[in-house]
Amino acid sequence: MVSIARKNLFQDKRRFLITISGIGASLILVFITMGVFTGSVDNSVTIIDHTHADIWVTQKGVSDLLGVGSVLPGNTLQPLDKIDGVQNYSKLIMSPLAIDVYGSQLKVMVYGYNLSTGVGGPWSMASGNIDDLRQNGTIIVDQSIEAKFGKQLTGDSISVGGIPQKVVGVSRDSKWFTFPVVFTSYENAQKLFGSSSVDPKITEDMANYALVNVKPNYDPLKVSKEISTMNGTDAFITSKIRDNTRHWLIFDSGAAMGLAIGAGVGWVIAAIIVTLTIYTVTIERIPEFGTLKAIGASKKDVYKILLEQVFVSVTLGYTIGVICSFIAAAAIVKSTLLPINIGSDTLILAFFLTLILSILGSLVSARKVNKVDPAIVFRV
Amino acid sequence: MTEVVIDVKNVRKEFSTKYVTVVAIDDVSFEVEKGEVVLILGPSGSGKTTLLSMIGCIMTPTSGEIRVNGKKTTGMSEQDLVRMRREDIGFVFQSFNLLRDLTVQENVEIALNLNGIKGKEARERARDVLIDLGMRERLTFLPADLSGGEKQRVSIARAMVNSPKILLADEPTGNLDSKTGQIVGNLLKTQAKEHEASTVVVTHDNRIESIADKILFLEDGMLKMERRVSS
Repeated sequence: MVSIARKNLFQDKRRFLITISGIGASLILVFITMGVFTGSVDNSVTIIDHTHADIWVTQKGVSDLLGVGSVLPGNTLQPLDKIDGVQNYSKLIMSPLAIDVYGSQLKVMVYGYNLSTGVGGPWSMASGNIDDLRQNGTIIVDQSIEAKFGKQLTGDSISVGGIPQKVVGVSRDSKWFTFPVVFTSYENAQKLFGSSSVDPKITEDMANYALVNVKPNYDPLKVSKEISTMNGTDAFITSKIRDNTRHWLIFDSGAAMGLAIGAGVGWVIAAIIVTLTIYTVTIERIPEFGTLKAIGASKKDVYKILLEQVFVSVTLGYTIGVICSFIAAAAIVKSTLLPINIGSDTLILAFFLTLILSILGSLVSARKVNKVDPAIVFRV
Repeated sequence: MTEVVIDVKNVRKEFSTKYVTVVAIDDVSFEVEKGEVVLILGPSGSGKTTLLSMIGCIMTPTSGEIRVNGKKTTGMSEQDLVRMRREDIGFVFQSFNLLRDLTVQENVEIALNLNGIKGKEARERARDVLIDLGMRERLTFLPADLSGGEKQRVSIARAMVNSPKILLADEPTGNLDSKTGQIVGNLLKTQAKEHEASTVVVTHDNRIESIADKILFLEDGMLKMERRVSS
């Protein structure tokens, strides 16, 4: 079938190029904001996903890893050994610190974990050996730190919170929000945090969280309820604290609202661009639509033309948007360590939402064409 | 017995504004037989085009009755009127009304597409009609690159490609010089006779009277004269 829609759009190539570039640019805004949002949410629960703990014990009143800080004095955790079903528990302390790599500074999240259980430690190694953390003053750094400085760091000495530390390995995909993670032993982390005075409350035996593994055939939920009865603690099964953490970031932090507004604005701009273009193309061709109606085009035929115009514009604009977004995301991640995760669900949602908004916008043009009197063909 | 394809009976058309009512067509009746070419002559403002619009299912009469191909069009739904225009009627306009971004062949193909004929069949049929009308060398041209006579040939091809029973032409020679006008007039007649299409041509160009089987003269919305032309 002869595509009047495509002929109409491509007739003025410059205008069409501006249109699809505008749609693409708006969708870049959508993809990057959505990508930052998804990336932040994913990164915030990465540690939970990889600790292999059954239960997270927190300070009383703390139900996630982001909202309020959790501090557990050592004596608070002593009754854990006596709780029926607890196989073992590992203390985890974490705090942001600055590292100095050959004169360049970077903020990182330091995790101090129990080396004997391994719970809370690196889950994927790019190089090096986790067991080397048993040596005093050693750390494992995330791969993104090497990427950021463009240097291989294994074997090098870098400053963490002002204290020289030897890098004994490099981990993969270990980030906390925008911060790359540095792993070290629980004991070494205590020294690092004490030295920087980042959190003076952290003293010997204290932890931010205790990660519990339950004995076989015990229900983690029941054990967590039992732990919650301990003085000064709350306890959550892993899936629950994961959900709580995501929920806080998405609904309570306010960050989600800002990102949602950014994405929404992008979508609306894209739809307005499509609407304006389709409307302009339609207005220019009112006599032609009159001719089509006179020679027998039905309302359905006219809608088909308008919808095809929308579909072609959105599809091409979307393609440009996707390609540019991935290029931009790669550049942003490399230069800022900002987590950007543009997932397939975001891509699918963005396409259909842009299409639907643009189709709604094209109804303005459809109304205009519907009002065209086919008798217009007799006016010279 | 001859078959009446267009039957106009006591048709009246009024255009009303808030303050005034204008009678554009007043009690007009006539018939057009199968394959007959009827010329409606008359000065500007006499109601010729309004009458043609009503026969072509584009306008509806205020009163009276029009039957096209045996079907009463007055009172038909909008959907049925659209179908009538698509399937039974071919239009030729004074300003050609070709779609500017479509090639010559595509302009003809689109009429087939609207009628559900697509792809290779549509392309071949459009091509054949255009070649028949002497447009073989212009199939890929855009309308802007054609002369007035060529544009009107494309317009005739578009009107005839669905083999309609009725061909309606509004001032088809209005934008053409006399020689080209004569050629286009003859083309209309040839097409009408070949396809046995009942043809109504509205014009004030009496140089093409020779193509008519019957001539109607309209003035002030009223039929003043009906004359059969002997062949």
